[in-house]
Amino acid sequence: MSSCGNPATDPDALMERRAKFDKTTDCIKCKVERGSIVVRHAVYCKNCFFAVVTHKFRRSLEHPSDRMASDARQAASSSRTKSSLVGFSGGLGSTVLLDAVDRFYFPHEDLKKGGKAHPRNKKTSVKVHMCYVEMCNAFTGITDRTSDITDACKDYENLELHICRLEDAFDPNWWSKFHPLGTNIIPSSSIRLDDEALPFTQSIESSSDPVSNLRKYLTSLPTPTAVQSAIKTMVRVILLYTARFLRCSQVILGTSLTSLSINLISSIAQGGGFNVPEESYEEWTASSVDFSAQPTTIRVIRPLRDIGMKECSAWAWWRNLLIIGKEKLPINERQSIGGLTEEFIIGLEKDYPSTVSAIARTCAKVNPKDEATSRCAVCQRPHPSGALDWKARISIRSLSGDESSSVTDSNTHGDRASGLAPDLCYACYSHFVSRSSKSIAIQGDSAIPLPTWVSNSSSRKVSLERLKESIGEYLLEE
Amino acid sequence: MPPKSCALCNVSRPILKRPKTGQQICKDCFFYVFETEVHNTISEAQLFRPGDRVAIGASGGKDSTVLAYVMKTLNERYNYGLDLYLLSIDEGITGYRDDSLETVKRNQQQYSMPLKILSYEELYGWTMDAIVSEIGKKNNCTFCGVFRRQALDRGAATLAVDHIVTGHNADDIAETVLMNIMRGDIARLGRCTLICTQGEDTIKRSKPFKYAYEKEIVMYAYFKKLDYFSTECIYSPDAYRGHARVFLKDLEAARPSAIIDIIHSGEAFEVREEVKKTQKAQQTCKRCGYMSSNDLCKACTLLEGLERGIADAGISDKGKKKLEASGPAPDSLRKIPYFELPGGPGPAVAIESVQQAPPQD
Repeated sequence: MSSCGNPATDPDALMERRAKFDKTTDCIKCKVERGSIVVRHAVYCKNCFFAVVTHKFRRSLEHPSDRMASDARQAASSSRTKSSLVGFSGGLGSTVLLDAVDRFYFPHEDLKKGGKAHPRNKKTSVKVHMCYVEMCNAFTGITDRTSDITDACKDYENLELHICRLEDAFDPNWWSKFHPLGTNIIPSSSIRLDDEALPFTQSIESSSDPVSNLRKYLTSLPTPTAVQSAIKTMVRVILLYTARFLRCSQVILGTSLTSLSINLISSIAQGGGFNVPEESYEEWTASSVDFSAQPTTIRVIRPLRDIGMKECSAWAWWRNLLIIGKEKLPINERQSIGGLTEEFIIGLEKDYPSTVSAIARTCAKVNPKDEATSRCAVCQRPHPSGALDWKARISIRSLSGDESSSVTDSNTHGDRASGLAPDLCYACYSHFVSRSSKSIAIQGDSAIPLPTWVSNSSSRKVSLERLKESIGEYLLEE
Repeated sequence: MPPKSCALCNVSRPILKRPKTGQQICKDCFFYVFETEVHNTISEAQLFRPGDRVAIGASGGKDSTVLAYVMKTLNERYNYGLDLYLLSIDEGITGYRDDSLETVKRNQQQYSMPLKILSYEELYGWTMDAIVSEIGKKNNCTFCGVFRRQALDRGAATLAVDHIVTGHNADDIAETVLMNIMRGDIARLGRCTLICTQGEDTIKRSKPFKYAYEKEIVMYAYFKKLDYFSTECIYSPDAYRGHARVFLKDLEAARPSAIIDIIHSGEAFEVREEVKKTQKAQQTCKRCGYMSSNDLCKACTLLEGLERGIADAGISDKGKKKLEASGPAPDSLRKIPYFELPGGPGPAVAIESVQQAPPQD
């Protein structure tokens, strides 16, 4: 029992802890067994706990259109016929996810129910891959964990492990293999951060070291929030391109309900309100810059999105899973929006477990207000136009009255020389230009290299060059 | 090392770093950008028409004091043609509101604006002191918030104004976005980032400081040496809002743009159509005529609970059931006067009831 006042004078000062369960200590599902776990005031026995969590997992794995299927068996089998890439970080969520995916796609003998004909029990022929993105080269002094990850994954013999590295984001050789443009890939660019238009400087030498480019990129970002977000984005995009290369139609991530709530609040606090729906489900088309290939849509699903961190921990404990843990990066968590949000939400979950699910439920009820007009060159997510105009409108940054002195969507539109700014969503643009209260001014030589996909996704540059190429035979000499 | 000259005029010595942009600027440039940004907010949203009668919700605190000063300044500088009034609500909190109202009365003289004070006691028959002695500090913010909202509309109706402006700043709005997400209040989430709200049965209400940082409002009041009251309410703050506020301050410390980024997020999404359809339609309270989503508005429910000794009738389902079980409200029950919007131009009540500002020297 805790107090926030003087209980002798104020009876409300005592904040009595609520009982952890509502009515009985018996399982509310089977009503027979004694409960083993309390999940948001509901008591479950161990068997019913697995049944409930598995049900939530399967339901979240289904495509929204699968849920409309008249035949439940068809719906159940539909998800199992899609080749998938499972993102694995070594953390609690992705470890539980691997176990659940393995049981779902390749049911063990002890789990087979419903007869031989049940789609759940048919042997699946689809390929399921795992992908781990190693981050040790992002900063100095971090141990390479690839051998630990390989060991942890070796029990999943039906799943094939692929290891990528964060510096692959800057490696043209890696991108020429994974990107639809192949060897025609445009070399990485760099930008200047001392100008809010983020003007391009020069292309990076293809022979330059990806690790040093990665480190320069991360150390040049103005806030820990931007660094944390950049790493998250790079991992996500590397997973997407890897999935595309492996011809997977879905990427499965181990985002639990707790992590989803953290991601939602963190994204909103960084200006990513337009992409709230993408935090729980998104569809990404890889070939928007590749005119020759058929569009390939990859869906990103998070089947643990209805399962809280506590349930994941119980699953891992009862299934005796080894949790390696996420890599601890040298980013000051108290100084980053992601770190602060995580601390806040995990604290909330202890005292107000329903608040965490309320966040996810509330965010599931909103849609973007405007139509997306393009895809952000950095995060690859859809975004509407007008973000820069909005920023310019609400704060005066110059007294000159000269429009060109402030960065807007309109004065840079169609003018590639103006910089990267108009190709970015509000959140990614803010990562480059928003400083912390302790930031010092960016000095002269502040060119920072960009991940390779940025110059290859920047719609205007690619479309002009490739558009001309595609109609070249019809153009007369000037 | 601080730069030698202001990032905006490049002439004077900078004396502050703007939280909103991170620029180091001088005092005059700060006054200019602060006031101009508020003017831009007003003009882009087309909040007013010439001749509008506008009530400024005045508590005597920093936000409403700066709002009154800036509204007067902009009204004169840009010829808005507005009739400005100060409207204060006296919640009846001894040692807090009585002191802050003294500040408002001084503001009335300093800014030469007519002032109307409407008290909870006059309107509801209860002061907040009396309510807290009945219900304790827990949930008292619910009573105060619901009663204040209605009181502002009723005070504005007596002044026959077209518009109420309040001192809600960017921090308040960002905090409300977070709070509404955390407590699943989808109806409020959908409208909390709007600069102007108006129902069919309410007076238009706007927030000209929507994009102004609280820190900049404090800086403005400090450098202008404005007379304001800075004590926090003596009754315990809303615990839930407190959580959101502390979190927001942490975010702001990590990256000052977080406040404006949250507002941008709130403006970027909207409640899905199928969810909107499930929300209750707006109607008018059968007892007092104020807007309501039920037969009785929240203020009438809370007041009935207080009057009948079931104070949690408007707070919890248990209290609501208890109230229903105790039968219909007796005819002798104290009720809130019937609410009517001002019918036409001119004051709906005799102007003598409004404390006139003394003529300027």
